[in-house]
Amino acid sequence: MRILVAIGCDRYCNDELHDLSGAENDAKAVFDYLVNKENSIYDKNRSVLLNSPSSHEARDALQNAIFDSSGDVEFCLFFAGHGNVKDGAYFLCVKDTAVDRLSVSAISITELFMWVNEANVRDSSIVIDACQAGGVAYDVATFLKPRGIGRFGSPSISVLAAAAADQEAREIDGQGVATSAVLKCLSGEVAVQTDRPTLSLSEVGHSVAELMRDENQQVPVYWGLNLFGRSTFSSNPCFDEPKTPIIGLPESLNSSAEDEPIIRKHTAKVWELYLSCSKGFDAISFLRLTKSILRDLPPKSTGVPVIVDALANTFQQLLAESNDPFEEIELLGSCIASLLQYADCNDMVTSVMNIMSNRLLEAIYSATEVILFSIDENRFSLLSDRSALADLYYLPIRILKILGWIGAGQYIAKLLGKESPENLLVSQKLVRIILEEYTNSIVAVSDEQTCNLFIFLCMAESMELSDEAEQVFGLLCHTFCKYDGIISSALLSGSNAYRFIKGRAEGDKAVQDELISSPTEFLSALILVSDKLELTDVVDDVIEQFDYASANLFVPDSYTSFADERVDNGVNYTFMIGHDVWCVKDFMERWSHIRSQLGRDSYIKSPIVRIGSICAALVQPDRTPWFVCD
Amino acid sequence: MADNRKIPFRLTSRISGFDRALSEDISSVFIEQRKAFMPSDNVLGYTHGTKWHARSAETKDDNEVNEMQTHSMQVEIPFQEIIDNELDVLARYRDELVSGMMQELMSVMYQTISESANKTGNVVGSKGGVFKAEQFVEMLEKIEFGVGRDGKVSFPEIHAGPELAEKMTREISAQGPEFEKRIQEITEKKTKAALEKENERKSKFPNHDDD
Repeated sequence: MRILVAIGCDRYCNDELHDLSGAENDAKAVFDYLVNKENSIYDKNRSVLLNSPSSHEARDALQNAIFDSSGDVEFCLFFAGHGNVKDGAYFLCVKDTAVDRLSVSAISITELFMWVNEANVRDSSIVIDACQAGGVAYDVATFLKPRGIGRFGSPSISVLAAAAADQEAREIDGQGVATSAVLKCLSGEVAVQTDRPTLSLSEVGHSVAELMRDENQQVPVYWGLNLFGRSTFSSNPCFDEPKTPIIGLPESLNSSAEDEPIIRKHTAKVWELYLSCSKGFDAISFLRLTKSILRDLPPKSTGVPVIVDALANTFQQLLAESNDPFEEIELLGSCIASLLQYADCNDMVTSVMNIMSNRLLEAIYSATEVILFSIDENRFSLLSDRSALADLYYLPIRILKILGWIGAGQYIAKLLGKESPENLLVSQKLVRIILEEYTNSIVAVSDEQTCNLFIFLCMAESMELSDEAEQVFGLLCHTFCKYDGIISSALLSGSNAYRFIKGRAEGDKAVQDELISSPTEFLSALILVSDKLELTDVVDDVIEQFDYASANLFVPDSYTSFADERVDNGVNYTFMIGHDVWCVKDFMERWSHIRSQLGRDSYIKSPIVRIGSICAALVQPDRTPWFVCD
Repeated sequence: MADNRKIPFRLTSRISGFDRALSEDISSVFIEQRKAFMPSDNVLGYTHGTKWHARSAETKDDNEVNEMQTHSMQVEIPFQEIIDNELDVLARYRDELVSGMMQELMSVMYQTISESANKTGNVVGSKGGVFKAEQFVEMLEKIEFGVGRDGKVSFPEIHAGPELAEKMTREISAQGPEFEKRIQEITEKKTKAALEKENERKSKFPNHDDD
């Protein structure tokens, strides 16, 4: 049951709150579009429209909608009027609100969130066209404090605020500027999307932000977390009924009642991760959190693809504004990887993985284009904006990550039959410009470069980048030799990365010994790739320098477990230079045995498992998908 | 250089960790170098405020409030050196920063000593800029010896440029045994005075044991 409470407050008793002229119009217009239209998804009998109510009337209406309903409630609040931030909390001001006693005479958003939590409302959408509406975020922060009022337990809530926490919300010709933009989306004057029959508030928020892009005095704020499935705010007037059925997640599919307590249990952690995205998206934490939610679900739950799809949509909206175009790629990669262990035993999972793989491919192409443009504009654009010296360690990793995802894009495109000459051209240009501008940053630094170099170099020939691959290989081989085959372990902490690079600069082997990767997969990748690129003589010329060096290839028993934080079942094939391997040929003999072991995993024949495994390795770069070289 | 560039893989928290470790390293190198001319016992650290008032036994001036000064150093690293993965830049950055900060610190320290000496009249002038042995005696006469926390008398140090230091050594060495004897007598007198003063200071503690 979906209920709308629309409040428009034009009249105010308190002198400090001047009367408005468009708030009631706004509430009525929104109510008409959401409730009174023929194809409305709202309950006409339970939804209410309030014009300039008192705080008592507004509270009653909200509490009735939230508490006095049987079954699952999906709640939507639209508010137009005055808003106020006080002591880190946000208040909606109604007719009898007194500014000096907001907590008793206004509607507190903190209180509203508490009601929503207490009533276990399944999904909440909140639209506020009022001054300082972005201040709602303060209330979320209050809930997330360990000693706060309570744990913010709502796993599904979306907010669209007309202005930032320090901005006014304007009215023009008797209508709020933000509401006017919302109405354009609801009426279909602006197409939000055409793929699905309903719109989520986050999607509407994204379009409203686009429509208000030129409004420099009022920037709308929107965010939302939806763990139960796709959130629904309104029907979609621009939906194009597909002529052929789309294989994917059905529009109506939501997680079941059995999954609900599990989802609620993990909500606070998801919120924490969501809010921390402003400092940068942490793909590894996201993957591990998603896997921990999925692991807790009942054995026959159908919620697995629903939850991952919901998380993908929720975070994708958030990352759309990011200055790092690879964050979306890592998000989708993490989502695909999280589903790996359920692939091929659940059609819905496979279908969602397929859809996400297509989205991932588009995201890779788009990021490639953005980065190419960025380097064209400023040749230093791959350098960190925070620290110059840290890039002695991180720039070589960053560059290999870009190359790794470009290689992955090619691999996925081939598997999905989506190869495109235009996109290939952009990838080629980016690789060439990186080689031109960042030649000396293609340096062997860390074992976390292994999967990236391996995927890129294995795919280079099919991308018509053989010469470039030879150059990348040569640079990595040269620097690996220059630093005596010493590279750091994968995923070192920042402080250890500093110690490592300082030790390398000073030739301090003792410090490096604590932090190096031994056995290393980097050396295995170089040797294996040398055979593929027909550059075995290069390795054979220098291999004696690595006498006693230990190299490794980890092969899991089943690639369906390849996204686990620690893959328990699998074999480490370790060899020592100068003891069982003296030249590339010796290594390749061992490799042919390992390859036959790879073939025993029946799952690896599945394209979707291959894609999932590549994503798992690129997100958690302490493992290498060796099957890519086949 | 925070800006709106599209930067892939910002690795924000790891880079912050790297920078923290770099700052800690620079700080520890700086502290080591500072110890060479300023014992750690004489270094005070404050969390709040930008002024301090410490009533010294010598001046007993309750109105003298000192203000902290900000020292800053700028080291330039061309982007190209980072792109070229020139690891030497790491040591160069650290050394330039530390030596710059040391220079600042020393210049402030000498300035403070000079101001304090001028105020108390502890100044020995040299006519025509030529150092004479007699000035050394005068210096010793004006200086009060201190006693360290270990109860041992701390003798004065002479900070001079290499040229002047050599001249001073030559001039003093050229004096005869009579000069040496004078110096020894002054030193003994000053040592005794310093120990007496220290004893007097300590005796102010209610349960001080003279032994």
